[in-house]
Amino acid sequence: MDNGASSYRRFLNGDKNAFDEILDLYRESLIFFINRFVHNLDTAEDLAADSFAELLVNPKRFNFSCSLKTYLFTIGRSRAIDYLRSAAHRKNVPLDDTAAQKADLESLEEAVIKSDRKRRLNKAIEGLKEDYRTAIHLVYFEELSYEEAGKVMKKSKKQVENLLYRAKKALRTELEKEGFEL
Amino acid sequence: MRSREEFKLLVETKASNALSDKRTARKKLFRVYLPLAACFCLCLTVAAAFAARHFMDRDQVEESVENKWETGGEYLPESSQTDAVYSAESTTATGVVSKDEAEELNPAQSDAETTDEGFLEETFECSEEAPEADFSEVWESSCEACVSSDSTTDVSEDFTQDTQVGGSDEAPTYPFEQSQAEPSVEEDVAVTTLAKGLLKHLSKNNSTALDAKRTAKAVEKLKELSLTPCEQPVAPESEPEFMLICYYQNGEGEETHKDFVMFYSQEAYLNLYGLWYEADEAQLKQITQLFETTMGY
Repeated sequence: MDNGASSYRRFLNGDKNAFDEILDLYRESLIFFINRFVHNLDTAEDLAADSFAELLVNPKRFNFSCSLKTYLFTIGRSRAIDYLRSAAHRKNVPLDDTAAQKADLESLEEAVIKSDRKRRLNKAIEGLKEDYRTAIHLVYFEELSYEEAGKVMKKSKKQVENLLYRAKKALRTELEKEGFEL
Repeated sequence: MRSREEFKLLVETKASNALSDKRTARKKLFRVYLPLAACFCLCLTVAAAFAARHFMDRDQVEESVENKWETGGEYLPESSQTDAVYSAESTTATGVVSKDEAEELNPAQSDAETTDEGFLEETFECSEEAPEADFSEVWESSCEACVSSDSTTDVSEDFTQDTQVGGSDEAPTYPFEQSQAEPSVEEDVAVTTLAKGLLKHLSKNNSTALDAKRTAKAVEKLKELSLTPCEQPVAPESEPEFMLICYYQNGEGEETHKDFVMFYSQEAYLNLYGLWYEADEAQLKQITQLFETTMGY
């Protein structure tokens, strides 16, 4: 059992501090992951808060058959997709200061991606298709297994493998264009 | 970007709102939707009960009509204003439905028929004394014909011609001489099947628009057989093997049409909307098949 799941079990048993541990463990990575879909930090934060609130509202829904991280990322992805579908019908004008957002995003990126090499990779994958981005993010940045990544993306292990193969191929082309040493 | 504490507060607020919404939805379910669903189920049950009762009554009526037909009783309910009324068949030719049975089927009509028959028999005696009252003129003319002719058969023929056709001046055509010959068993069966089929159909589907529609369809099919138009046939000496008079309502349930079908030993005469048709043996079989197959008996 991962740390998140054990913390959540303690929270269900009445330990209020255990939920803080869960927040500390997954808050930034979940916001960063959701931001890949919505490309807006405030929205990503809001949707991440929704995902954590799900743990409080429906505590019996998580059955500990997978890691809490997988469960949270699955909820986060669903919320992000729902948001994008509803956002397609309404034209929002972003009021946020883009410079401040950019700074926040960079600090979040530094917090989530420790390695400088990986951060350079992160820049390169922005140009890829959404499925490729998600697969690479989950497997290489969040270090989930193929099965776990498949659960989050609602795909089979084989499909994730194929996606990653194609994503790496596309990423190689992108990195070669930028002069990245392979 | 929010701090950790702010984010935690945001999560708790969202969770609190979601729980509140959940409770409200649950309350609404119990206070509004469940009573509504219960009312709906109750209405459905009541409607189903009424429908079941309605169809049960209808089945009982149909069953009683069929039973009456099977037992030879009155096969139409008294309240019905439609459909077949009369059936009579001589015992001499086919022996399928006797005249006595026909009397049992419809005593009122058979009484009237008996009266006419009695009158006929009385005139056929060709006695010296004239009958009473209104028939004296007819009697005189027929009696003269009787005197001028050698055989009593001619007398009855002329008399029947006068009374049935209405005193036509044309020379009487008598297409029923062949009826004296014994019909084949196959024809008897075919004719009987058709008669039963017609009666069953008409008695089953009384007082409905569908009945009139189906009967009209059958009449159309009969017309397609290219039956030969003929003069109004004259009743023969012997009784027709059977006779059907079909009354039914039209779509609005107002007007009634009368289709008159007479079958003798080897020939059929049909009256379709006032026009008379003659049917030969092959056409008779086709008519039988039509009612057996098309009408689904």
